Amino acid sequence: MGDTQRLQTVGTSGGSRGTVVTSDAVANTKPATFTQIVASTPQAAQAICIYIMSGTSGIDFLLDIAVGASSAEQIICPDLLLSCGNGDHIFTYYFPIAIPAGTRISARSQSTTGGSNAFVLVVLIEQTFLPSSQLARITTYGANVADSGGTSIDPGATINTKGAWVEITASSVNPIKALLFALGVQVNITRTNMEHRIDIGIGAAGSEQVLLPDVQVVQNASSDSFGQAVQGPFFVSIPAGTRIAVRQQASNADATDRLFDVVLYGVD
Amino acid sequence: MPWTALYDTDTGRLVSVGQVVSDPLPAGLTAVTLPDRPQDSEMWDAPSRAFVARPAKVLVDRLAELLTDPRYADFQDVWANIPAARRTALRNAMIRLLGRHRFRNAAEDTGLD
Repeated sequence: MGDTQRLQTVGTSGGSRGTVVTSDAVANTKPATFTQIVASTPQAAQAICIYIMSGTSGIDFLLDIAVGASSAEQIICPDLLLSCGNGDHIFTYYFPIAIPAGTRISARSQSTTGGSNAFVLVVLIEQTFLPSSQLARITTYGANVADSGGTSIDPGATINTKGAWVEITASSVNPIKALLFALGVQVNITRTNMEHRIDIGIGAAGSEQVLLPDVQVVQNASSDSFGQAVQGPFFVSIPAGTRIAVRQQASNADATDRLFDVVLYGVD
Repeated sequence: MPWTALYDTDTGRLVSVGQVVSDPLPAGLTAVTLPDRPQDSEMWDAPSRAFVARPAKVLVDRLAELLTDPRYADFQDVWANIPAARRTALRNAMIRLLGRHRFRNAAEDTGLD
């Protein structure tokens, strides 16, 4: 018998978007309450795909996805970045984590402009071509709750040359078996067309070892955003207690536009 | 833990920034302790081996371009011959029309995409 798969989407709305999740009225602040995405998941999932979109230009969000009853939510996906340039933007996260059937899923968000709407859909993926050992936990590194963004990475003034490593975490809290990262535009909506290559490395400053080399991304001047702003999961094996850093190179030396934010998500 | 910047001793090129530093320091690198994590408003200057203020981004006003760029001489000719009050009304309408496209990155083309 071959592998079987069943996929179901929860959180659809009457329109062509997901469930609206409104950020706290105060900028860069998470509300205490969560918005329900689904009261009870119709099937078990061994992986989930989370779609987060917004039609608001020039805004950054950090969203928490939680499971559990109202007022007893447990956050399973902390600080998912959604960074919007001009127009509609969507960030898609694929996490190989298990969620039992019958689970309530909810979300809350903070944003650079208070009271802003993001829309959330979740695809439940039952039984995929995944490692037999199930992953269950997501740890976020590099999120900056003060501005609803991430850690800024500067490639330096020399184009097409890798810049300095920037520490994302001095010591990873948990092991990492799958790694994702998201890129933010820092609420800069007058960007330049530009190409980047990104390295993710581990190890002490001065002795970094490249773990994930030359991930290619581009930023677009029309949409002021990155194509494929969320990358991964990349299946890795990073022990807890590891320093993780990022560096990048860019095709343009504009002192502002060459920068981007990065947030890492470790799954174990 | 303090923040540290490592740079190439000979060139001043910034190599790494962080709180966990190799010990011993690899040959050819110099470490300097920072007061805190560098802010976005700062950038590394290799000649001075220090963080300096990042230059402000310069944006170009498309409306101003329309009135000064020689490529739009025909428009400027018409503009010069309408009363001041009508100019103000027209300018306000163009500001509304251009919206977020009024200001462009200096590297972008003047034309709207």
